[in-house]
Amino acid sequence: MCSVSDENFENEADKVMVKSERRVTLSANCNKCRTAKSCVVLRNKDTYCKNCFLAGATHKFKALIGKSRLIRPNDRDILKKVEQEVTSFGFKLYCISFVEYILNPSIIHGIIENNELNISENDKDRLWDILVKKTSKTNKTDVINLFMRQLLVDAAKYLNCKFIFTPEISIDIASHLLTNISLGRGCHVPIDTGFCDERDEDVKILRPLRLFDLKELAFYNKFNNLDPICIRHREVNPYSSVQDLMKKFVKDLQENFPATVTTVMKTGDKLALDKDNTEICKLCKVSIINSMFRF
Amino acid sequence: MPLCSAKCGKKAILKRPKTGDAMCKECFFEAFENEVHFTITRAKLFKPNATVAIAASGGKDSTVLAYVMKLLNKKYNYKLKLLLLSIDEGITGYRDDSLDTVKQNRDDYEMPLKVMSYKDLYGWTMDEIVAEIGRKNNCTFCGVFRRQALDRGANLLKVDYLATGHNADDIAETVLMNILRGDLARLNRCTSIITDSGDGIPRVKPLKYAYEKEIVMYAYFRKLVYFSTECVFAPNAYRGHARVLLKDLEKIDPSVIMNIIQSGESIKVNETANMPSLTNCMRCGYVSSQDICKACVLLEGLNKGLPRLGIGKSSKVKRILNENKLKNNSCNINASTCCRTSTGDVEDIEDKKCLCGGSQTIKSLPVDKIMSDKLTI
Repeated sequence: MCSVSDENFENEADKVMVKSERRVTLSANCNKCRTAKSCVVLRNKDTYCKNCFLAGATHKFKALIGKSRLIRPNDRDILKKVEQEVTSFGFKLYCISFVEYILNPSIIHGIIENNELNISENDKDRLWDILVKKTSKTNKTDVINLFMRQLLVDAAKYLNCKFIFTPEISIDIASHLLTNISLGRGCHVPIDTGFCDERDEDVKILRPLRLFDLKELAFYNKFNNLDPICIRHREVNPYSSVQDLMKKFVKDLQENFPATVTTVMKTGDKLALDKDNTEICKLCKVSIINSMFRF
Repeated sequence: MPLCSAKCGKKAILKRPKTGDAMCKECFFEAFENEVHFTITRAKLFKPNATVAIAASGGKDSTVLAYVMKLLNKKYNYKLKLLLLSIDEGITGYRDDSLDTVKQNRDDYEMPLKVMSYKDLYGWTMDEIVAEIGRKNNCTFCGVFRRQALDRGANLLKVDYLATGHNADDIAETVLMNILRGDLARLNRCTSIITDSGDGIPRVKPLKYAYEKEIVMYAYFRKLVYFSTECVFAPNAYRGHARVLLKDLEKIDPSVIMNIIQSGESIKVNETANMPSLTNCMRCGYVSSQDICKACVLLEGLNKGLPRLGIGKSSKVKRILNENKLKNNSCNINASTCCRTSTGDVEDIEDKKCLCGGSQTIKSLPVDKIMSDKLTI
């Protein structure tokens, strides 16, 4: 049977994604203060001057953290960062070898380093050797992500921190959400892509940049004269794993239908965690949905 | 060719799309049928001695559904009375041909067939509607009318269940689509195997866990007769994004389809999120999220020569319906079919240009009269 219009939408407009209009004009004054000349265009329509943009970005960051009412002054936070420059802000930097951790998760105190990192060239091979050779890239990536999260939590505990800040931005969140759905982890969406991951009782993982898009961050860095190192990523075949495909899909959405990326995130925000189950999965630490009895 | 992985000793002739197993024909039939049987018994879909209408379009899904239902009913003694229910949208060159297929199914499977036509139910065939609205939005009419037509047909036949041929791909696609659209209400209910439209007859999806590819394969090896032409009005297919994404995902890993359904079943909507509530249409009594259901709005538009009435936003429709009602109450009826409102605005500029130049006030039939005439079965 023809399945077009099967879903019986009330509005015709509901059926199509909103395509972004490309009309970039910088001639107008800032949308916010209406006095200064604008220099940034966000979402292909709103223009801001430098000051308003920076104020807006800072406010967005503070508002998200403030709204959650999780962090109190003097709490110790850990920032997951890959950038070298992080030391120039006066943060203490710790490094840890992921392979060593996976090989022996209990020796975290022995492998956490202050400044330099012991990595060798064959680390990647050692890592992939641990995983069963025949496993698909999708599953390998999935397992590695689980271990990565556990490593952060363990390291935070060792360093006596209560919070971990991770740098995912909107497209990371949206692609992670769709990946979760596609891997049958639909019930993990609230903790995996929400603002706060509170699986662990002592250490919470927060994602303060989840409402920012790439352009906002790039301009923020530019205006603050920050110059992060750029790593050229190796080109990956988007059809090699579910995670890669979702990254590509969301990237295309961001380019052509930016409003849909926001919609995906908002959908995720309205999903709740099922707390009825007491049994916890040993690997991902989420309560097990017993699908044997669900239909 | 390798041996059948079910260890029956025969040579395999196919690779199961769902699992990748090499299988012989007979073992594939058995696996496919057993999975549908498992779906039906696990979800306790049917009560014994019930009457089940199978929504039959003549396409692959409904043909396989009818065949498997008949086979399982006999094999496992469900004690069901099965019959076919078809909708004749009145599309020349599509439905007349596919109805022949359904009639073939009726004879092959020895099931009674009931055909409901849009003409009988609504007074319009799709051909007539397309002549009125053009080819751009006609699928809105067809989809909305079909859904109601199936329910009305099921009511008329006094059946206990209405079984539709939705397959696993359809459902996974709907889950993805509802996430992209941010439609929580539909996301919440689109994976349920039984949907109850209010006081109506429960709709069930016995093929919920059957892959589209396997359905095609099953029909092919069983040599079932089905109709595989697209509707002649088939549009620039919407659902496009979700469908393309799902097909790509299936290429990477076929189990993704089942995973998505599992995700859809296990997600829980936050209690604080706003959900629309369902009520019944004030005119025809069908379930609707608005005061007046979509089918009634579309019909009113057609009957008043404003076919685009239901195409826009529901808030706009509400406003226009209210205005029309006021006019009906106060109007000192001149015999006229003018489309100009009393405020002087032409309502539906794109479709009908006013001919009288606004010299006459609108005259529309009393709303109640139109609806009750056209909608009773």
